[in-house]
Amino acid sequence: MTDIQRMLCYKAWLETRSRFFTALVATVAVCAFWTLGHTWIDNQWQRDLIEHPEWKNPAWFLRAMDDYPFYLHHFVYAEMLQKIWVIFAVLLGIGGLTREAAQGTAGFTLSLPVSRLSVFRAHAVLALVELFALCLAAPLLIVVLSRVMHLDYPLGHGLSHSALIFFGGIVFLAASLCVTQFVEGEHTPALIGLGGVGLLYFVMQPYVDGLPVSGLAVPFALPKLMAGNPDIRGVADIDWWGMTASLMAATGFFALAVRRNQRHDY
Amino acid sequence: MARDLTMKMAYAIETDGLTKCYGKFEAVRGLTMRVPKGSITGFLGQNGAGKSTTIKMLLGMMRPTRGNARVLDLDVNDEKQSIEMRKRVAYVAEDKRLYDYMTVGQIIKFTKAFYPTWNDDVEQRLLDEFRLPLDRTTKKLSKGMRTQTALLLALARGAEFLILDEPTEGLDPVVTEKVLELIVGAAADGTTVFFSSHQISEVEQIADRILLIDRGQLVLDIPIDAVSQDYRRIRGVYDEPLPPPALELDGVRRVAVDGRVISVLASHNAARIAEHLRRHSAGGTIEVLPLTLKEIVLESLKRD
Repeated sequence: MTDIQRMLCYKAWLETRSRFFTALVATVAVCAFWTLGHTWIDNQWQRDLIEHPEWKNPAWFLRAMDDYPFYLHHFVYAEMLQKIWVIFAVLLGIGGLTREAAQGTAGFTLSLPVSRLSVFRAHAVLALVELFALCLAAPLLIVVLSRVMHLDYPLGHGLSHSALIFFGGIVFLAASLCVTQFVEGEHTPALIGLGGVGLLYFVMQPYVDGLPVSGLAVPFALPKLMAGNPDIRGVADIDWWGMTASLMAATGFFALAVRRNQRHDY
Repeated sequence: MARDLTMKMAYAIETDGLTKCYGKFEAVRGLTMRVPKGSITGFLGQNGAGKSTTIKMLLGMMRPTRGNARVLDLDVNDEKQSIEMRKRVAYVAEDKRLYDYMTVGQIIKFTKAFYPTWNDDVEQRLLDEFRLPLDRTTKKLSKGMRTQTALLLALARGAEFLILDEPTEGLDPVVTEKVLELIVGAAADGTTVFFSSHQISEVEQIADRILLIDRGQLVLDIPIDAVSQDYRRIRGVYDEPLPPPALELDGVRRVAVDGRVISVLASHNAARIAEHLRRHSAGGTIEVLPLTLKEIVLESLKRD
């Protein structure tokens, strides 16, 4: 890495570090809540079963009471951690020269003896590293906190699900990098990106939960793809078609963002 | 061939038919201009005349719709050459905005990494002179301090060409004077300076050449010495109203007739033009008057 590349990454880090630390705090909070709170939650469920036998329990309920990795998958990897990660994939992708133009600093950046592509690459690479760090932090934290609670949780299980979130969800970062190149304004790209995430998770997802993760359903079944099989044991349990489609879409967004970055007038 | 090369290298900026269109609107229209190396060139024009657009095209921030531009003999439309050029050019943008999330110290460290020619002595001298707080983020700096930081970042990189877009805009007179002194100091050290402004007085104070742009076109390109030495207003006051004279003489830039008064703006050749007016009608009084830069600029901006 040259001094110039290091400095571009340093700039990208200073620009995004508060977002990254916010994401880290949210990740720690979610992991801590569902691991440290497991005993209390489990006791509460036991009581509910006895005191309210008439309650209709969801399909996952009984298994989550008995199966700790499944419980974590259900509440953390398939739910809260995934949503936090996706939100911050969008937020960490926001930046670059179009946003700088709105902030009035694009002139300074573009006067430096460096290509537009280098500026874009530093921003994208740093966002990827930050998102990878978030993915890595979650299973490590869960393993440690589970030990504190005298619960067993296999690290491999956590790492597999983190990998699914990371590779399946890169498309959110790529889409965000793309939106931020096309949409002018300091906060508009973030609002559009988060609006898209909200639409996907809260409006469209309930309608497609039952669909297989392939073909046209992929864009709407990303949460399902990122959550993966709760009993994941190896590569055979990965939906490779869905994963390939998602990575191809991410590549397309990256390419579009680079093209725009090269041609745009600032 | 060798002479051609020397001629080419003598210019810091050369543009040829440079044009920038936004849809049907032409912000810059066929701009052809030369900025000699070693000069302080003032780039004048009203707001919206096309100054900033021209500068952005020169620095590769915008792509010209048509035409060519070379800065330090490097093609601005070629990305590799543009990067080479930016190693040797320092630019201070109009709004002087710097990264809000960096402190003064951080932005100096950041910028320094891009320039092997960075001059630590200049950095230290300007830090002492401006008393810039290294640990304060740039968003907490006053506009004057932000301009000073931007100038420090431009001057310490050891560039051979300084492009400044409205460097004194929004500054108080004391800081303005300091900034102008710095520009003159940089030029004295051999740096070519090209600065845009709509403040005629400060251009007159420090520039040795003036380019005036109006509605995207170059309307005036003169050395500052020509203002006092060559430019004249020749006014003829006659006994009765006269038709406009046929003044097809070298140096005549504008002829205005107002009743009994005929006024000619001449870029040179004032004596011959005055003689011509004298012969236009008997009984008139002919005056040859010096002009200020402001008068020349205002005359040049008058639309027929």
